[in-house]
Amino acid sequence: MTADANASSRSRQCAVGIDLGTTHSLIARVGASGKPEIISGGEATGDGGGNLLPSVVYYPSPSDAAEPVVGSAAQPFLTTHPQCTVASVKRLLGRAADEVQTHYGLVADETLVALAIHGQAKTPVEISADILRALKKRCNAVYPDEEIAGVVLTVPAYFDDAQRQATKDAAALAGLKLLRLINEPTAAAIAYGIDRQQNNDNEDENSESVYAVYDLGGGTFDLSVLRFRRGVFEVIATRGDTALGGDDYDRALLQHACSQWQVDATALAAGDYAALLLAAKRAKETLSTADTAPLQWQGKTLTVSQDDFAAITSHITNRTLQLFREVLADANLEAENLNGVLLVGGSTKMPVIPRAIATQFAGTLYNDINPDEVVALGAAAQAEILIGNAAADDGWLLLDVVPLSLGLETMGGLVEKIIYRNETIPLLREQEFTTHQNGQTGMAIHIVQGERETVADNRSLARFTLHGIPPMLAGVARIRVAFQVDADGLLSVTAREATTGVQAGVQVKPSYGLSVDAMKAMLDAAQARASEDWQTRQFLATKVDSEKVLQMVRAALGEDADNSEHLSADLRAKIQAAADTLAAALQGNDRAAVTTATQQLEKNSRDYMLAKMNRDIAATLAGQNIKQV
Amino acid sequence: MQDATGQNYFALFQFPTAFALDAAELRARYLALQQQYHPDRFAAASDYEKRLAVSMSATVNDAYAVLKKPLSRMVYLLKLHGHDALAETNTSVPEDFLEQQMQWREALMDAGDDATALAALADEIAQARGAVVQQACDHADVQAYEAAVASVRQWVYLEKLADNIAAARRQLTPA
Repeated sequence: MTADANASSRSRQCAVGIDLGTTHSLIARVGASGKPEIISGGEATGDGGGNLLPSVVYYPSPSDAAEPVVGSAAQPFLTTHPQCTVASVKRLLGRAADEVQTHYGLVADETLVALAIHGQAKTPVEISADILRALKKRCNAVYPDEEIAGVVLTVPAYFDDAQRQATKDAAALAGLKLLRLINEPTAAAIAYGIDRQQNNDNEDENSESVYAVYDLGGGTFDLSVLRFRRGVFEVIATRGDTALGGDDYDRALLQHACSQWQVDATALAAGDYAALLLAAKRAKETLSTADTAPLQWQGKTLTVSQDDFAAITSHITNRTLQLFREVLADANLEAENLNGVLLVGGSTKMPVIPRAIATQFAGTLYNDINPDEVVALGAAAQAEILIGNAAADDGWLLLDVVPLSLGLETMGGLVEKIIYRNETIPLLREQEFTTHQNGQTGMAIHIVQGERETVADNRSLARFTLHGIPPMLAGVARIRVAFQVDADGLLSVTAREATTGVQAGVQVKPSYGLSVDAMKAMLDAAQARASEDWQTRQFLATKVDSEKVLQMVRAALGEDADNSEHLSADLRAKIQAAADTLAAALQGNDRAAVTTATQQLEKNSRDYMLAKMNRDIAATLAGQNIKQV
Repeated sequence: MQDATGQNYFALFQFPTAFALDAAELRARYLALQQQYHPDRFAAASDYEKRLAVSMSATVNDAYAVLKKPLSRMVYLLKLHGHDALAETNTSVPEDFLEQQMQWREALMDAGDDATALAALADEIAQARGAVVQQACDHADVQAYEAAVASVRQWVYLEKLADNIAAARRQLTPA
């Protein structure tokens, strides 16, 4: 990681959207025009330029002490240095070694994949962070006097918790402040939605429209149904397949050619297979604009027509159509209720796709925003909102859903669901457990993600160990475990014993991906090599945050009289004392003291602050003509 | 069943604690509250305030999910009055309803992939469900909660059956 030498000279702050894709990645931001635009690479970035940055990273030998090469500049190394050049790393994010097939050497570990590059373990998180750094460089080159204050990163809607966490970790490692993870089809819908909003200023305030987003990328397929109402983008349902994409069409075409030529695909040498796959991909791409395409390989030629291609790949297309019908059923809609279908992802350029969708849906298909760029553009627009740069009346609210159900392992390897897919996030569920033995002080909870009935058929997410439960008779302890899914779709767990109020410790062991400790070690290592004043800057950020907490709590106390029904004198004294301690700590330079005092103030004031926000609800609902909201 | 401050979900949305409510008004109030409390509205706030917003926003989401669907709304209402309609011990169903259940199950099996038969059965179930919903409401209105619980049990059954029929109809090859 290179320190950003110009950081201090960057006087203004900006927010960017990043589409970290399987085949290519993009960075965008809202420009002077007020519309999101892609930031392209150029001479200064040394990544080969263009709007699309190929998601390829080449690692020079460590003895050269050279920086990784990213983008089209790295592509030639795929054939010359295949063992130290990584493509499609997104397929490995949040995966375990036994779940992936790759030609790279793997570093054995039961919970995560790491590639052996130059004899050293490189995790997909680190490789993704290198792609993010290359994108960051593009922004810094084009906007030399601006600092990236925050980023919205997109993920496939169907990414599970481990894959989302890995993406979040990559942003942290690249030194980017993550404002939000948003789902790719949702980002695309935002890009289309704001476009429509700008063109339809006179539309009825209360009109609602419903769109499906059909998002077929290189390696993933996502479908979402969204409802737009002025000011709100609401995802109603989402479906997808993280192992279905344009690459499958290439492979189907390859298989077809092999059977026509009577070649055994499995017997081909790796290089020959790769060449044939590339030829199939080219033929597919030619068919995006031509009626027929020649597939040429080792002196053989096969002419593929549009109809041939549709027939050869119909099993893949039909799978997407089946998911299309299912997502409509989830949303409780018929196809004719849709106002339109948005086509997103490079693979929707294949003419077979709009033709197939037309068999299910007679209305308008929208593809007027470049399907390769639309996700990054939507992410940039959302970043601008979150950083607070957009004018209030230009703002909108995004309500997304959790893509996969979360459940707990119960007796006999069965799953008890606690959070159902397509529930709107953020969300909070509490579940009560009890002990089975006298004096039991610990308990293990296994969380899985997926729709199936048994643990074995779902994906293990994490194992939580509760400890510090007060010893009681069996069945007396009431351990209340709270599962919270935040606005990024990520799960966190807290627990307390309800009769004594004792907070139980929660130890998390993710089933896949980096443990919290491993991630912390990686971050520390990266930061040690970064700017020297890192610690100082971190402390300043902590102080600013704590100042805000102190102000908020003091303002709240100022509004409530002593001994009112909302604030007893005792409670006020307790909160006041914690506030004073924090105020004193903020005068000094002891980081630990500030952190501890902030946590104590939060603990003492939490119930009071929540109750206060709750009382404000009446005012919110009374203060406006609701139907016009 | 209640949010962090002990308020029930009806009160959270400033509705009286009763089954009947205007769905459009519920939705409008829901969106107004999310506009106010969604964590995205707290981008510049402290981490603590963001966490408070997540709690509020999650509570609003949960309340909306419960009140939006008539069945979960009725179950919630009965629970507020101390009756757990979904308790596993609560399984007794009148004999004539059991008989009717058997007939519907058979009709579903016999229909197979006959689209017309499935559509007819779906209509029949929708009607039966309408009647049961009305019963549950009538009982709840006069505080006859135990009778309402009995109706809700039939309602739950009909809801599941309707889902099964809908799933069977989705399996049919679209024309």
